[in-house]
Amino acid sequence: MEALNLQDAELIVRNMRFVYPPPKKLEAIKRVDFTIRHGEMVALIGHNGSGKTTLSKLISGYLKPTEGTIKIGGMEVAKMHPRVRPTVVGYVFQNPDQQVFKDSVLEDIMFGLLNLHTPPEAAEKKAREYMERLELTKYADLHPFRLGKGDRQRVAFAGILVMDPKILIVDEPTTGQDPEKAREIMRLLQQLNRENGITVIVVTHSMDLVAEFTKRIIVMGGGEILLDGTPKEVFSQPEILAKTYVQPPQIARLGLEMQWKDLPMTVDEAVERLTAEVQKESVR
Amino acid sequence: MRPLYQFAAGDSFIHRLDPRTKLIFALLYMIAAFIIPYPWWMFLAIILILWIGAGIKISDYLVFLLYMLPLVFTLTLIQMLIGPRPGITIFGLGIPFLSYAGWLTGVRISFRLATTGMGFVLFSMTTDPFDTGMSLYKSGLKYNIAYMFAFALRFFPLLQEELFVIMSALQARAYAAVGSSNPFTIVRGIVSSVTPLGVGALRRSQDIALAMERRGLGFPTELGTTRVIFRDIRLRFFDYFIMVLSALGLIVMILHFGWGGQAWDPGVWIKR
Repeated sequence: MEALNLQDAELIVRNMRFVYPPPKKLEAIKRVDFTIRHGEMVALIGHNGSGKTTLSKLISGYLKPTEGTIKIGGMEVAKMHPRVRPTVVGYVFQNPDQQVFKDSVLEDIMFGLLNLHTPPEAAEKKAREYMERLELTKYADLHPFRLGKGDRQRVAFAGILVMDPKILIVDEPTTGQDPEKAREIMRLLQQLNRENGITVIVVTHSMDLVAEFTKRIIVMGGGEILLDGTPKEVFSQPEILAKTYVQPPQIARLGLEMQWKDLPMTVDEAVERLTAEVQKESVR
Repeated sequence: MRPLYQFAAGDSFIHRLDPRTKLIFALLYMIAAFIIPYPWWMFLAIILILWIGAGIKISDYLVFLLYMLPLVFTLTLIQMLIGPRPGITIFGLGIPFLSYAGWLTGVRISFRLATTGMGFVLFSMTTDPFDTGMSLYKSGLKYNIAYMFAFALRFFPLLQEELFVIMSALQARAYAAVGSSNPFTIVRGIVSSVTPLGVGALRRSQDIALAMERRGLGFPTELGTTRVIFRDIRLRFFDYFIMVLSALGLIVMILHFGWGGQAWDPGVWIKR
């Protein structure tokens, strides 16, 4: 019998393959192997249909691998009890409207905790803590559907985070958000990763945000892992990225055009490099 | 397994039939299931018709059959408890309070309901929703009403897909509706999904209605001009042949059982 070690909730995927059952019969994941250490913040990128959402659903236990294993904290995800799984791996879906089950923001955030048999007082206390943290306190008694999309997204986050998952998977959190809200969401994920030590896996198409906020990128294409490394390592290989229709962010492309070995990932880094280049030129 | 009632595109004999033919066939078939004293044969026959005639395997609509099981079980049990008693013997064990006539009635009702559902499966899985709309339009219904029916059919599988996502979101909140093998827990999960599903459907239908108006769906009616149709449907020889054959089959069945047909015992292990 495998024991679950939540102190070190390392995610280990070994020789994993997934084929959708008939009538689809699509081999969505073709043998992947990787490890995500506890406390990492990872971006999963790739074109539509590259297998990133399927992979994230496999990690969270919604799908079972056709072959191979996915273990978190030493235990196979597929074998975890349905009540245990959400406390190990949380999944925030792309559309917040599909995650509203109660008539007020407070009750909706408490919903998962009550399903875990947490006493109501303790559940309310914890839900209020997260509402405070995500700036939702003023909406406590409102119906979630009366909030704007960004706020509903935060309610969905709170509903999952309140269950203290060790790994948080967020499916395209910035889609449909204005640039400032998108950065706010990424800042929140970064904060959760740094302060709470939660492993964060973000499925996204937003390369600028990935370059700025994550430390590791896994690039999917045709059901395989094409690249796995730091943003600098990954974005320095545009020819491989092109296979999955991913373009490095503008700042990285500037670095590629300038043939810099160390690609800038932020505007500040680019300014620093350009200033250094100009100074070098003026000395000559 | 695809969402229930979703059109399964194909080029089979049944797929090529006119929607009106399939609708008439399905309706007559359902009526026949209520006349025949052994509806299980009708149930098995429609599974074969779907498989051989349309290439649609049982795994594609298995979920429908599984969801029927609790209903079938409850119906049969109620009939066995309330039906006239002489008592029955199951695997050699005499059970005095269960009714043999009730058992027969329960099984018949269950198979009739299942056959009715399968009639809808045959129609919806082999008919393009827009062909259904076109057949309604050709039958004299207003275009926008016919289009609404067609779109509703197309909308149904989308709602089912949305329901799966919502059920997964419930599972993410430790509400074990999807992972459960208990049909009552699954039903509770479906009930909890009603609000997000309903709100999503309303928002989506509002967007679709606006988008269709922006694409001029109502222009021909407003301007009093003729609607231009790109993809038309028409009744062919085989359509008439199937319709006549189905009607004849039903008439023969009514005449035959009018003189008293014998029912096959639906379970030799259960005796009076």
